[in-house]
Amino acid sequence: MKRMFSKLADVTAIRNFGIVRHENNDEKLFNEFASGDLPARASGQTLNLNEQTREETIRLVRQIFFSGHSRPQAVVFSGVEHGSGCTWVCARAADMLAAHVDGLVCLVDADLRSPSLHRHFEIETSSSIVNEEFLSAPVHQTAPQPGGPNLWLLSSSAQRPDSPGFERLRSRVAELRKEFDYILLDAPPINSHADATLLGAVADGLVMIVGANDTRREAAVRAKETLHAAGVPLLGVVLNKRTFPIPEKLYRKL
Amino acid sequence: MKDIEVQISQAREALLREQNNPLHEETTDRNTTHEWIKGELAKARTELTTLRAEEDASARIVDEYRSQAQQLNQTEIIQQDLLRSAKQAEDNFLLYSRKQEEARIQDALDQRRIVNVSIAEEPTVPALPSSPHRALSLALGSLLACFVSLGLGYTADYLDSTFRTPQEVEVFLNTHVLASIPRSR
Repeated sequence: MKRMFSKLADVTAIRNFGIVRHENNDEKLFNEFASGDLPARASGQTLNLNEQTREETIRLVRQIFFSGHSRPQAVVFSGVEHGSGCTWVCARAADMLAAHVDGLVCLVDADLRSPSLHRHFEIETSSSIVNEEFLSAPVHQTAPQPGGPNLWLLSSSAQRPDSPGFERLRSRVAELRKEFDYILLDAPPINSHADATLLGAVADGLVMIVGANDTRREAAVRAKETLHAAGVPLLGVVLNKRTFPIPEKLYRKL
Repeated sequence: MKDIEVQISQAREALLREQNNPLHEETTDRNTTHEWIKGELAKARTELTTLRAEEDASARIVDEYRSQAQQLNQTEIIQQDLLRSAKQAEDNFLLYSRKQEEARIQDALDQRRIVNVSIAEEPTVPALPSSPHRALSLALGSLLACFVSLGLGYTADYLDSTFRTPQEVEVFLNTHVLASIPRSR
């Protein structure tokens, strides 16, 4: 576990010189890394992934942030229903992104009802910031940095499902846009609560997580219709927990 | 000498005894012949009674035998009728069976359009049984198992409403799939 209240050099740079945008350089760095031209950084990535999961995570980050015409800054990750592994995907994507770009990455646990993102980085509950700090304090001073020097985790240990806290979180996204290059928000399931839809409206898009062999087609269609009705741009879908009943090499040939 | 003396003594005793019982004549009013005839008449009458009783019994037996004979005659008539009926029914059965077989053969010939048929070779019992064919049964069973397995698989796939591949996600949601992350991690 890393206790992150220390002042870092790039944080000072942000305060002194305002918003620092690394998008152009980040895209070049990440694409070089993804294409194999650039070796992975020795430090930064903290979460262990096997080869195929790592490839898919790289592809996910590249598809969201470095492909197409739009360059989303704030992206909401939300599952269709509980148990789709949305938090896991969001944590790995943020960790992968922060490990291979120079831009500042903020990972926000927007599931105020049952925050669990800090567990993926082995951060103890007692070290997480409390609600008041979560919603108002400067991130660079209070939030822990579970990964490299450019990854911040904005999470709350206490459950706070009330609407004032959530409304504050929505306005908090606008503040984070000024401080970070990339903001990844882990939201509750789309079909369970309206949080994901509301956050998606203030973010640049939403990534829907679908659990393989778990999420029903009707539920996914209903979630997509909900997003469409709310005007939330759907960046794409992640099929998580996919299984291969037959050997993968044979599967690829089919 | 002694014998002569014994004979003389015996003769004397006989003379003496005859002298003690002199011969006399008795006359009675009983007619012995009549008595004998009367006795014989009584016996004859008794025998007559017995014979008449036997006559009655014999007459009854004769009547009974006569009635039995009549019943037997009637039964014999009925039996003869039944035998004739059975014989007629058997004849009818054989006739109809023969006609049925002829009709079946005629139908078969009509179907195959064969007018004249003759047996070219008598059928024989083969040395090897024609069934079961183990290889054929195995092949058909394997083929059937394949079809059943495929059917069950397609049925299960049709009834399963969850996503399994990125292609399914793209088809049903009409949305781009960013990544498909495997379960093993």
